[in-house]
Amino acid sequence: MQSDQELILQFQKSIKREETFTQLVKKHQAKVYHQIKRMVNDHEDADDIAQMVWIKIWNKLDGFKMESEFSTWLFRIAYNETLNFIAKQKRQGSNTSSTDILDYENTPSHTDAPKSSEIQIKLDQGIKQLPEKQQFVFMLRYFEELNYEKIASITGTTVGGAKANYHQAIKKLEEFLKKN
Amino acid sequence: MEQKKIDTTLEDDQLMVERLFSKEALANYDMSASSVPASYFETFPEKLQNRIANNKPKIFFLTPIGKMAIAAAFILVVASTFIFLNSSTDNNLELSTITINDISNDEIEAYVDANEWMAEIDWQSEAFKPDTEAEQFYKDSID
Repeated sequence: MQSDQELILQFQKSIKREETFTQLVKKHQAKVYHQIKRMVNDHEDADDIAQMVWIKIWNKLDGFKMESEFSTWLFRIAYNETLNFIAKQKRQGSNTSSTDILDYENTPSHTDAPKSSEIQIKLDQGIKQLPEKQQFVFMLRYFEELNYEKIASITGTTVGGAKANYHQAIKKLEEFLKKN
Repeated sequence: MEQKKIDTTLEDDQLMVERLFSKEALANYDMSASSVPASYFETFPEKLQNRIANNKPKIFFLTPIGKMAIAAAFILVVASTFIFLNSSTDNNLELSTITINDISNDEIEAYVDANEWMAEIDWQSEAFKPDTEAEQFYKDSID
């Protein structure tokens, strides 16, 4: 499999652009989608945001100078698009906000997933009451297992700031558990 | 070495969460939170390419004949404007050089007849206008 750098160079040289881009999408689509879905919960919304993210990548890939990793840049766009979407939803007072509890039992591709338990609902509620930035940092650190340097680049903060966000998130989760 | 340090920190960070919630609960949460409908990722790249194709701005590249046609039309517009402006300037010049000798007597008579009463009013107003200078002189001479 070709590296990101090779694929991007091919794209920039206009060598089979569509094909090259599709290879990039196939390589990274799952991680981007999962991260967005964790934030917005709804598949349709996550799909729409993911498409917007990739369209932005398509439009800006010619100017990408490879000063950072492609995946960092991709996650940064996903982060911005997701936050924009959530802010827009809040302004419109949408009912399908990210504060909804996940439907553990009726998830399409995981009908055999374990049934919801009290702790899972609490975990979901606890995560949803976090500020969006802390949620994003928490997901990137715990589930995606990214290092703080990368998280800092994605969220446009310092390494110290990213660490502080993660630890604040855990503190708030702990407080939430004590209260509930 | 650095990688090991980062990994250790990651483990510590993950343990902090796992002390609050069980590892299983966290795994189940993520399974539900990031779940995907069947065959979503197989169809996504194609769906994306279609959307990109529909979003592409349409650029029309002109053929050499088209470019020449546009250039000819532009030159025609500029030339027409130039000719029009010049011809209207010539007309003004013609008007300005007409002398009294160029106007026929009939035309002059018709103009005078039409404006005779206006001329009369003008003459009378001039004739009976009080001569302030003369009056002042008269006053001064009496004093």
